[in-house]
Amino acid sequence: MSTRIPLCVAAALCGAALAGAPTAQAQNRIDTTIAVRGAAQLSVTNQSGEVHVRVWDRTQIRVTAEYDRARVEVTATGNRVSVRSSTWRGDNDVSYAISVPSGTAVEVNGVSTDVTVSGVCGEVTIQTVSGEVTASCLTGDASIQSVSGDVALTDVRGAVDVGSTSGEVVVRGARGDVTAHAVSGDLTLEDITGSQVSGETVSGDLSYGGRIADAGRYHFQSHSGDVTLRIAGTVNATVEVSTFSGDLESDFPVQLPPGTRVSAHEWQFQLGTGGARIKLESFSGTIELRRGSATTNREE
Amino acid sequence: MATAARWLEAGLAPTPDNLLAQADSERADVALAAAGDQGAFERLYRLHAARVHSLVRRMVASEGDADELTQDVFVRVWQRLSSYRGDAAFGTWLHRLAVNLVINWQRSATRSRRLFSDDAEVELTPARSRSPESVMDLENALGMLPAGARRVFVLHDVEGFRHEEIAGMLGVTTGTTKAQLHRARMLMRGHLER
Amino acid sequence: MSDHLDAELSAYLDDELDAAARERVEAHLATCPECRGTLEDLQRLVRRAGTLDDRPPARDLWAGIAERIGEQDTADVLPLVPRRRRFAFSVPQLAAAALALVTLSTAVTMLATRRAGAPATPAGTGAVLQPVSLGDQTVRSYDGAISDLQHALTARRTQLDTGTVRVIEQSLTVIDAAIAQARSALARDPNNPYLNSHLQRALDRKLDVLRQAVALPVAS
Repeated sequence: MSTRIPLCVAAALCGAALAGAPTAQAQNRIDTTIAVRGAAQLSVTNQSGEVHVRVWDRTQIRVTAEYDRARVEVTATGNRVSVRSSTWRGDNDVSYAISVPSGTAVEVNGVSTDVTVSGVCGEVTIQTVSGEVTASCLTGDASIQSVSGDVALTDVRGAVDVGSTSGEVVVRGARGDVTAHAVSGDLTLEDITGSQVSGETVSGDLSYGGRIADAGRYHFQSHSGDVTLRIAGTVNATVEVSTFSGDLESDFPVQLPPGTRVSAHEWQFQLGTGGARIKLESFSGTIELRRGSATTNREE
Repeated sequence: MATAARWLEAGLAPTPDNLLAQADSERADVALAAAGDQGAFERLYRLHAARVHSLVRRMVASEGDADELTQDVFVRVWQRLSSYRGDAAFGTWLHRLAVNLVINWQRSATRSRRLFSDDAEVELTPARSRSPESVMDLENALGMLPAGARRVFVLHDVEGFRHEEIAGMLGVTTGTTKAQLHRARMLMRGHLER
Repeated sequence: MSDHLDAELSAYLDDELDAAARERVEAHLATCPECRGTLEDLQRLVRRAGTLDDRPPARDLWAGIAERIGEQDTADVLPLVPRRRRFAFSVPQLAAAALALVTLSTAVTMLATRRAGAPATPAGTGAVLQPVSLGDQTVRSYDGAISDLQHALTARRTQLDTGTVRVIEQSLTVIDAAIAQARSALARDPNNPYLNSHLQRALDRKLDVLRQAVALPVAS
């Protein structure tokens, strides 16, 4: 759906960047609804602005967009709805609000785009550069990647691969496998009940709060960040700790049978009857093993 | 070693050089494709299409369209190239993506059209008539298994996943996967007899 | 035992039984030709299943894939220009960098004895076998690839959003510090497996950030 693009009258007006939400007087708006049957797929490409996807109980996908200078295209092929913003150099935010049936697979590509996907409970694929990402109720195989934006995920029912370079990553409530990466951002994983969990940062801190599944594999590593595990419930695991100049602090008794101390900075010990495998590494940060409840105690 | 068998079939001796050369050009194509080069992605498609299509075909049998699902897999791979970090070999990563996609597709497909019950033994149309002399192809026999048993058999015996991994992927216990596997094997044995 | 073996046969075949259970099964097999026959059938079946050929699809599926990924290209700067590759000039530089990258761990992973396509060890533990010590050659290969990618990034710098460039550069600084510290620790303890794998991971992270930066869409 193309729209007439107004010509610039004055350089000052054209050069001004529109940050955040468009003003109440967004010049253009589209509102289109497409019927879908069964498993639907939504794909949105929006270089700057916002994309908000929420669930509703109709077997339709409704796309509304507000923008000043851009071209917005909505196409539908069977159950696949594709939404694209085309832009000229300059200010060109598009703000999307999209309603989809429960279970819709959602894909969003953006650059300086904030993205929220709430309550859809489908497979989510999000890629953005400087936008913030918030998503709740993710199923299947989710992938969320950001460069400088923060990422907050809740109610992750399937597997998730989430990464940010400098943003903070928070995952609260995940049942499936979790793979989380950041370089300088902090990683916070809470209420995790999956059995394959890995987190990696370079300078960010990493904290994990949750259960340790009996046959699970957990790998948390950082260069200079602190690595903190708060374990809820009983734990049966073989724990391997590696550090160069960091420290280990543990609420659990660390009993080393003879011969398991590999070097001055590497330890291996068992909690309970073994079974799970926990690998904790921080080159210079502090590694902490704490007993605790699955959630943190701080106020939300 | 299954890998060596495949290389031999392709007419290539499994020398370290062959494997390294392929790894190099594949890595180059992965980097190029991640930057948007569709030509490079097509080369990756051609390299992995048979493997992915075979996996999809065997897991899904006549429940769905293996061609369309194979396309879904590669579209997903394209979408997620930026999250491939080189921790595992590209083929391994792609393969895992394919397995997850098929499992999730099966989950939502059974939700929206309950045609088969996992408990019933469903005899789907056999590919050819069974005469005492014919040897039933293993893939045809796979198609005659109930969905749940077939899935575990493919993941364990064909693809090589461990029970813990399969249980995690399907959201069941290893007790269930082991029981399903044995059931699948016994049913397959029955279909392949003669 | 008057009953025949059932699920124990699969467990036995897959080597999942403890010593006591295994002995019981073997004792039964010794006296039961029917169960022996069943076991042989299952062994044959599993062997066949593990060596199945991969057959390509009957028709070429590429066109359908190309159409769908073409739909999803990120926004063109000039939408009226026909769809093209995103970054024409940086691609050869990427290719050179990627080709230059031959890591010991990849070669080792390819040669490892396991089924092609079987999943890597879980929870991000990376390559199956770690080199005992990161040889000079490996480090030099990384340096080569890193420098190629850095040139590609420099060439693109003006095209990218300044805020993002700053984030990338800060991240690279953080990673460079980690690499330097890991290298100096390794100099004093060259065969330490943890330090070797840690340095390799830091180098991999640097490559990731650089690759990501080079593949970033053009700023508007």
